[in-house]
Amino acid sequence: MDSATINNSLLEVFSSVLEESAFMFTEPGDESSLEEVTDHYVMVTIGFSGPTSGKIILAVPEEIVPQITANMLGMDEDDPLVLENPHDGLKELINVVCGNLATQIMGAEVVVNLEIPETQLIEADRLEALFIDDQPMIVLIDDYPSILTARIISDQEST
Amino acid sequence: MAYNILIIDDSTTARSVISKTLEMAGVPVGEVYFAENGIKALQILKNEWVDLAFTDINMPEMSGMELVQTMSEDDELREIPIVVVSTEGSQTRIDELRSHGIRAYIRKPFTPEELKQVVDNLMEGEK
Repeated sequence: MDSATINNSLLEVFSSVLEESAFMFTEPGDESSLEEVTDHYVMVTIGFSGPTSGKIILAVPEEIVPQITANMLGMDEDDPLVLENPHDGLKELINVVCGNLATQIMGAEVVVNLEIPETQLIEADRLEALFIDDQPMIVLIDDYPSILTARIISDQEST
Repeated sequence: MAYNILIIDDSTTARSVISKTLEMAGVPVGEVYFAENGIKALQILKNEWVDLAFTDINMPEMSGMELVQTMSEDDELREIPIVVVSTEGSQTRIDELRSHGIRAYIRKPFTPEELKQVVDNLMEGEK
């Protein structure tokens, strides 16, 4: 399965899960939308292994991360639960996306193991370098430019 | 009758979403206990009366699969209905979980209606 097909499915699943879980919407973006929006991005990654193995990577501006978590919880951004774990919603979001994507691209009969999602804070000017080997999609989440990509490490189905 | 419920997930967000969704769905809830993995869940189950448990699969230290297996081998704990709430959609894995005695499976993301339907079906059978 080629990266473009997987990325198309990823965008479809991501948009659907984001809308259903956090009541936020995506629009297509381009490289110009990444310019000088924020100083820092929160990057969340989750690995998966099965007939196709790889990672899903999402980087969103630090400013909207608490909003994503708050929306998923149905709480305000200043709620103590959100303030204590501002990145937790992003981890849960990518976990749900990865599970649903795995079923979509590999089918319901195979077992796919998901890793525990991890987040890290990165400076905006390091963002492009992190994705040098990928073909990232730029999506606007409620007008905030974000980067989403699937990095395929091995694919038994295509060998 | 209100049900004492145990929610096991390593994500604070996921635990809170399940708890709030049960409330929104009108499920009569007594005490709600939270655990971040299977080990913590077993500690709670030793000390508290629980009518129904919701567990994720993919957790550090002790996974949902290991928890389900452990509970199925315990004379008292095997009677507690377990609902797996997970992102994974593998029918093979769901069948394996069912063979260890889980009563229901809910895929994330889920609606309050789906959750209520599962609880109603399960607890009706328990009466």
